[in-house]
Amino acid sequence: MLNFQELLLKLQEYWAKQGCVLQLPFDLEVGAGTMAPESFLRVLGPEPYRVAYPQPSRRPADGRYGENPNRLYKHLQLQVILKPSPDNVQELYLKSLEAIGIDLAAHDIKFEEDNWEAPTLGAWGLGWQVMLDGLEITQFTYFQQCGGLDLDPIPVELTYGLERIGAFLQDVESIYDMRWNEQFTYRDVRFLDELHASIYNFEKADIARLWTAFQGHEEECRTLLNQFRELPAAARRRFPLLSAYELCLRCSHLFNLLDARGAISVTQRVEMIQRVRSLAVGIASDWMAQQYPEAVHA
Amino acid sequence: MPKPLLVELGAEEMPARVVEGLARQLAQALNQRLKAAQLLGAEAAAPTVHFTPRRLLCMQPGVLEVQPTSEEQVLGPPKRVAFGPDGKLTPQGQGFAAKNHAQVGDLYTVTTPKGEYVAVRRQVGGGEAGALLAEIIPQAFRDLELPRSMRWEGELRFIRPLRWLLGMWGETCIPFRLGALEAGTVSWGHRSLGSGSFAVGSATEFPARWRENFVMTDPAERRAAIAAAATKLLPKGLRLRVDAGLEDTLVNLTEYPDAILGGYSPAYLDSLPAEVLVTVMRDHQKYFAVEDSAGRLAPHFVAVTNQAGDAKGYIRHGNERVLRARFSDAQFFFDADRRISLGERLPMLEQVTFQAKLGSYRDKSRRMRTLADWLAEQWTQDGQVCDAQTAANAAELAKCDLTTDMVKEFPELQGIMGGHYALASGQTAAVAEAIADQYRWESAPRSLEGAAVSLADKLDTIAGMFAIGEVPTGSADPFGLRRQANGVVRTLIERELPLSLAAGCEQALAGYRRELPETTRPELAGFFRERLAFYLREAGGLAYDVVAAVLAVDAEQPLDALRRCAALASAPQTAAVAAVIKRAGNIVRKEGWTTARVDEGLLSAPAEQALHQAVGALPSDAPYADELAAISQLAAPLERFFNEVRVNDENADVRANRLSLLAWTVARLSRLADFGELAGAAPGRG
Repeated sequence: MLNFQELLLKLQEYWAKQGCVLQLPFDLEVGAGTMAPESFLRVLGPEPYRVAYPQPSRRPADGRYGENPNRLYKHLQLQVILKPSPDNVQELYLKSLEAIGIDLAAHDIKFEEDNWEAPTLGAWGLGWQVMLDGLEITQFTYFQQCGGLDLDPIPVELTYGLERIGAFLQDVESIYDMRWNEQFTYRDVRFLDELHASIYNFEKADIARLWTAFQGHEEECRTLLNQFRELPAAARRRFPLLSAYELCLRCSHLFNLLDARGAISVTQRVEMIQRVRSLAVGIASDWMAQQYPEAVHA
Repeated sequence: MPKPLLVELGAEEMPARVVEGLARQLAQALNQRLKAAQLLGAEAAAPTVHFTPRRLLCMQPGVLEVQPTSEEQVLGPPKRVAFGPDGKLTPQGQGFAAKNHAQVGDLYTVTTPKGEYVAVRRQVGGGEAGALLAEIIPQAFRDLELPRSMRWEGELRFIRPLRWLLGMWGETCIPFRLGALEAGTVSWGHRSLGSGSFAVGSATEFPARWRENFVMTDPAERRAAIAAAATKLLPKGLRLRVDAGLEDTLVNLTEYPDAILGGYSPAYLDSLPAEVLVTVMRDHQKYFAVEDSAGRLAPHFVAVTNQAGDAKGYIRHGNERVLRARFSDAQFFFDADRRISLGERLPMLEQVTFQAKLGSYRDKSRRMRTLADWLAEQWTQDGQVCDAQTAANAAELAKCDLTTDMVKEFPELQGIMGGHYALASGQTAAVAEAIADQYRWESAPRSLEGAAVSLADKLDTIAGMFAIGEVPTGSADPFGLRRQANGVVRTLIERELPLSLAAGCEQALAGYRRELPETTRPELAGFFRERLAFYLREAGGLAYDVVAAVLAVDAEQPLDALRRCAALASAPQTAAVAAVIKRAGNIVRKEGWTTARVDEGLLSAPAEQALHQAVGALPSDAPYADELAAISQLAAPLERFFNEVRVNDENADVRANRLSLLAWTVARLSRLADFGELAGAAPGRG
């Protein structure tokens, strides 16, 4: 039986053999692995790319003070991007399950319709939630648009929910009871992280300062984008759009924190999603203009 | 010899809700294209349509080997253009001949209304199936109207990536192409039970070869397999809770269905409402609930698998484990939600938008309270009591469950959870029941107070949407207002509640305290009239003309309209009187006569005196059936009037009085229905 870190290692090993760059987690808070630049920006543009990386996803509103056996503030995803999507991608995926010890002949696997949309990223795709004996273990998505841009070639994104798969493999009722390695459990490694984050997110985070921080990052990002757009084409190459994208991600996380604090009304929520989206969509098209000036002019 | 054409589109798992529609579209498009190409004999049988999540299959029998041939005339340029003055072909004439592979001798002259033209005969048809089918199948594919579609490689679009194509006409491969794929004679079996791909020797091997490879292509077979598997598993005395929608989904989510029986802790039967258990099983897990012969839930579920058996018990174990986690989540929501009473949730409704232009649900809950209170007052009469306090409290609290975790997780439990939480908040059973019944679509609310809450909700929504111009048009009804109005009409009729729709709308509009465009009220009246007519025709089973005749008089009181319709539909002899009433009505209308005051002193002819007396003697408060029976007796005096009396008397006063008599008669006889709308009413001779 695989412990949690072996599970991650096996999946990484499997995807490395399929030619994926093994990346490290992106070192800023993101609400989903798709937001990391290795997914969001790499899927833009024509050149092939394959990457796999574990990514902690932070969703402040999902925090449960470490008390709920199935819900986490910060959960770990394995994010795989294959661009272009290979013909045998479903087969590759099913083999990855075999690689972690799942006997496909003894379990029930279904690909159930699940269309993915991330309004703050201007991104959507069609695909499935993969169900293993009634448990959703993976989001499988053919990206169609990202940052409001039509993608060509079409990349496929596989997002494995590592805690769920780990608890399934170890047959434990609570994520916290999973073996992380031979010596430590998931609780040993992560409980305090969940507890402290829940207390901060729900009780302590200073709403006024969060607003100020949101506005500061948004303004910085906008300023950068305006500067970029005024530059002559020849001078654009070195412009720090990646940093602008990081500012946009910070806004997104601050928005999630404000939401968890109950500081955002329904109408404000729509407006804030729109504000983050306009940054993300702007960066995507600027990124295309910077990286593929010929393609954009054509 | 005609042979069957078999087409298979193999795909990655398509959404369960669309495969059937797509398969039928494909078969129909193929059938039409084949007919248009004259490749289907008149006696060809209908196509067989099968589908699974991974394939659309269509077998069309009777596809001809060769198109029938015929000759047709091809018209060329005018003769004076095709031939020069020297009688030789011009370059244009040569071009026409060459294009049609014709010699100069084949050309002949045709006289048309526009002048003389050259023409040539051409053979059409004769194309061979093998070549034509490879073109026709992709054309049929392009005819498909796709739901939300995607790209995966190149420009081809479909709902999920296509991975293989099979095209066979009898034993012949039809190598049609879609995108980068070319059809062959190879298909694929079930993902884990089959052994990969398999070769097909002839179209007639369908569907047996697929079945050998663990694919039940026929949805009916999968449906039967699911039912048989469940029956085999269920202990004595237990059965599946019927759920047709879930069954359809599972049929189209599997290629080789089987089932497992799982269990859960019986403690949940006491600690969570049955609706919650069923919703978690159905919506989150696609499990059938299991019940005893009295319809009480039993602590079991049936999960349909896409796998043969569960020899090691892994599948059952895994599904039970997931359900435990789901139920424990639901229990957490249920316990946490009950810590805050519904009343304490009222301020939270300020944060929930009802409609951007119409404010929050808190605003709506205030309006609903006032409206339900008013409705209760309307319905407290004749010994019947609709408790205003109960109705008003329930209406105000009705939307509070929108702020609960359970309803956020399971929106379809709106109302039902409100009922449970009302009881937990110390509200009366009557208030709880009224809240729980607000969204019942399958039947009217159980209590009068429940009817008041349900109507207050729907009238408020409809009035508000009309007030901001969100009026349903054609197929566009984004807020489901028609369905809500149907609910209003049905509740009024089935609960036998008197209410003028206009008064109800007026009261609902008043709640919004806003300036209304002039069009709002007439639009609302027309909308409700249409919904009432729809109900009377569809649910009441009443004829179109009967409904039209009744609503022409008054469409304000649904219950009264139904009663008039019922009386009219079962009245034996209305055709004769309808015809003469219509004749009288036509005269009055033609003259534009509006006075109905009759001067008895001016009635001189016996026939007009008799008519006046007969109409005057009509019962005024009789049941509708008796009144209709009396009206049908008036055919004779009316006919006698038309036979014996001249309306256009030379004495202007007499003429006026006779017109007034007719106007009065028509008005008096049209209290129940406008007989002119009845199909049996012969066109008037007046």
